[in-house]
Amino acid sequence: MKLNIHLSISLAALLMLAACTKDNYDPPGSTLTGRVVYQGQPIGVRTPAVNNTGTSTTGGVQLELWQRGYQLFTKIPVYINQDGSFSASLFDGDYKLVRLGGAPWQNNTDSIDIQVRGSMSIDVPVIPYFTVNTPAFTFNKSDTTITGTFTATQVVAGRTVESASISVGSTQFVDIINCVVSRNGSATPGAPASITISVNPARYPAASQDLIRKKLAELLQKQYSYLRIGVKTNGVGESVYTSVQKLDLKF
Amino acid sequence: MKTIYKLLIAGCLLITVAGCKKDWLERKPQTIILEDQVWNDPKQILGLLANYYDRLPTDLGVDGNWRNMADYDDAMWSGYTGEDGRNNIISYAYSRWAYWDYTLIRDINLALESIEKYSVKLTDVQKKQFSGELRFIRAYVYFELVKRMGGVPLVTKQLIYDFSGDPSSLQQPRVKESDIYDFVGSEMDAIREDLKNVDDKGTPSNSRANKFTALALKSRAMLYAASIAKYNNLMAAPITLPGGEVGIPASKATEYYTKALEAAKEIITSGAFALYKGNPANLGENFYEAVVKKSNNKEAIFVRDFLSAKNKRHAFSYDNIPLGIREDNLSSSCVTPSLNLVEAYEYLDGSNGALKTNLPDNSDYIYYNNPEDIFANKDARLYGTVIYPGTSFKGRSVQMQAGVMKWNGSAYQTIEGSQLGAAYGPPAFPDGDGKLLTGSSGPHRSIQEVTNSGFYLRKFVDAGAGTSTRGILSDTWWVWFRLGEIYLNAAEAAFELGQTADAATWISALRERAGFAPNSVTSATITMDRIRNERRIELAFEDHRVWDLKRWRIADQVWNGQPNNPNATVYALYCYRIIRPGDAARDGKYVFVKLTAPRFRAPRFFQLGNYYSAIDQGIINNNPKIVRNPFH
Repeated sequence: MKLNIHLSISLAALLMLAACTKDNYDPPGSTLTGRVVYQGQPIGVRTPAVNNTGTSTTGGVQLELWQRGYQLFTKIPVYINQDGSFSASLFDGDYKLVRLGGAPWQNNTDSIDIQVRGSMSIDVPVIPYFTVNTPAFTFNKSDTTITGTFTATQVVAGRTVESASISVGSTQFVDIINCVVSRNGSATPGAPASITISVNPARYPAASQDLIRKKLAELLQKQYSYLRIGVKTNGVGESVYTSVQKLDLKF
Repeated sequence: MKTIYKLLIAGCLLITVAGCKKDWLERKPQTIILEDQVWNDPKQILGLLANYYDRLPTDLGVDGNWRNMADYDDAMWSGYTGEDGRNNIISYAYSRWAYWDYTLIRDINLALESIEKYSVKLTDVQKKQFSGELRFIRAYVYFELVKRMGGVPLVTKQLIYDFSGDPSSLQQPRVKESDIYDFVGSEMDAIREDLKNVDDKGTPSNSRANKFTALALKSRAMLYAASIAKYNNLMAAPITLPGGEVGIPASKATEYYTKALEAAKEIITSGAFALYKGNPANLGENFYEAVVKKSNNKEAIFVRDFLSAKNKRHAFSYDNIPLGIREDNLSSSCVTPSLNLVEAYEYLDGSNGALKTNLPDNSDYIYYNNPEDIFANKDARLYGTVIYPGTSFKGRSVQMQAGVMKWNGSAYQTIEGSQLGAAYGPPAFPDGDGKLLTGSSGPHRSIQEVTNSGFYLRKFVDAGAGTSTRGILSDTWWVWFRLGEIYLNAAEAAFELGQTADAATWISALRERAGFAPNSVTSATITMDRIRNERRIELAFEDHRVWDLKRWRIADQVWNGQPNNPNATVYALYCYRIIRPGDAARDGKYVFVKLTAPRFRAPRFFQLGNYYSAIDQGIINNNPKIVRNPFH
């Protein structure tokens, strides 16, 4: 009798232990990667700043993935990195990829059908309002300024440029929000333009610029920075950017 | 038989006889209330009304969401470090400000229908009054819905499911944004005479809806609709939806401004209210009392009241009192006003409010004999809203000093301590002069629960004894509407309609109450920027800033997330005592330094997708007819 009880208890314990797996659901294994392109070239955008307050997305530029066939819908946001690439970890299935409004390209609500079977790559075609081409940056030792030259090209007729911007950052992730200092200028589409920005802390004397002074001093000590040019379309929240370029700040 | 048994049997018989009631099995339940019991008893209907009034939403408040006061540009968070995320809001979530309380709408619709159906014992006047109050609350909820979400489904009767398996008849589509504003306006017109709630002396109730409350809501709602009609269409790309759920045609702006102005004027000229001027000797205290004092306050139109005696209390004072004068041993100093707000208050001569910390050529600081001298001759509303260095609260002085600056022969050396209230002397500073180093109320760059911005909040903080303790708590009210706002509504609407002289009169009246000379603003000098600034400084922390920036469509420029933008960053003002022996003009005086508040990390970032909050996917799953808001 005692033997039986010991046996039963051990058997029960063994069964329970065997049933203990951490999850009863495998994680998604297929990776969808891709780029947002125009004429084969990826488009530069603002780094997504995903805020952790609440479950809703908080801007940046994004695509959406929707899957039909289930009772309810939940969107899968696909954030676009600053170099125009994106990736999402998904289960195999049929998805619809939608381009969300608010981006620096023409609104196109047509969805792209994707069949995910294992990892795959896709290029999402968009038509940006403007593109920024041939960016070049130089550091002027004499007055501690950086000059960026570029040409904005109009792609969609009827839109106007609100402003162009140069952003100076201390890390590889640079845009008009994520920078040490930025400056707006104007740009006529089709003609070369340039913007010069000072990186001399003394040129930012206002009480409200104490943090900028501090960060610029650190930047000059580091002796390099990362730069981007952005072009903002009138009436559109996000700008289109060049690729990030590193510039030495050596005297 | 034994006596005890005889007694027992007799006792049992007695009890049984006494227990025989006529319909003992037909008793009424004590725990169930039937419909016709509720709707025929004014006290029970009043109880329900109290519950519905309590459920009106607000983005700020003295309880509930009060911490949101620290999320914008008028203040920052200086309290418990666990909430420091409020100083580091990288961008406002698209779901922020989302609201969809159709449970409350349904409760009100049900109540309205029940009054019609069951209330046979109430008089017609009573029925109309209760129905009017319910309709007021419902219209207020729809106003809150439309200002956050745009047009929403307009449901004014109970929707009952027939359990047929097909819910499509319950799925209401969103109506146009202008339709909801029109609904609010027309409801206020319909109920205003039924509401009563005015006592025999003609004093309107300030916690239950009456004719003036309806007019106040109408003036605010019509003004919001007019601003959206005008400013949305002035954007380079107006935010609209094809079905009109978002976006109001520009042609409707004049009509809405006119309605807003009429409603506001009726309140102002009625004589039922007056700007609070009960303390003419101290205009700063007067402004504080105008918002906080409950007795003899003819300025408050509609409030959310609290009462300690009935245990309806809140911890707003416990959480926001300055550290050095707190009465409990925890919390304090949570929401601290920014230098940005302090500099928005003008000087009494009409000049720009920027504080003068340095000489014009920047060669030296300006030396002040006392910390409060830098704030001399400022708009009295600054004192009434903000506790600044050199002032006191509750009769106790709030000691604020960030550190000392010691002259070393060629430059100042800034010395700050790590202990609040410490003196500048041994053991930490062996060659100190033994006088104050750090104020007992800070400011301090990193210590939690002491101001980081150099200021403390005064408005809504209770000056009553012991009210900052958790034992006593506070019962200061939350103001929904007061006459000050109505003046501003009237001024803005009049200005937009070209009636600049009237607009200037109302703005001047508010400024006169704040210490300015009469007619400090005339029809020649009044501008929209001036009206907007008056709104910011008069109604600070009363849940207007966000909605005003939204309806003027400038929120995405003011809070554009860029590090260069002084409007998106919260600044602080630190006070230092000068140590410069031998220099009598400077030694022992005070200088001020403006800086970015040390705990503030990310510039405020409001995007186009924030103008209308994201509708939760769960709502769209339930009702596929709901159209999403733009950019989400």
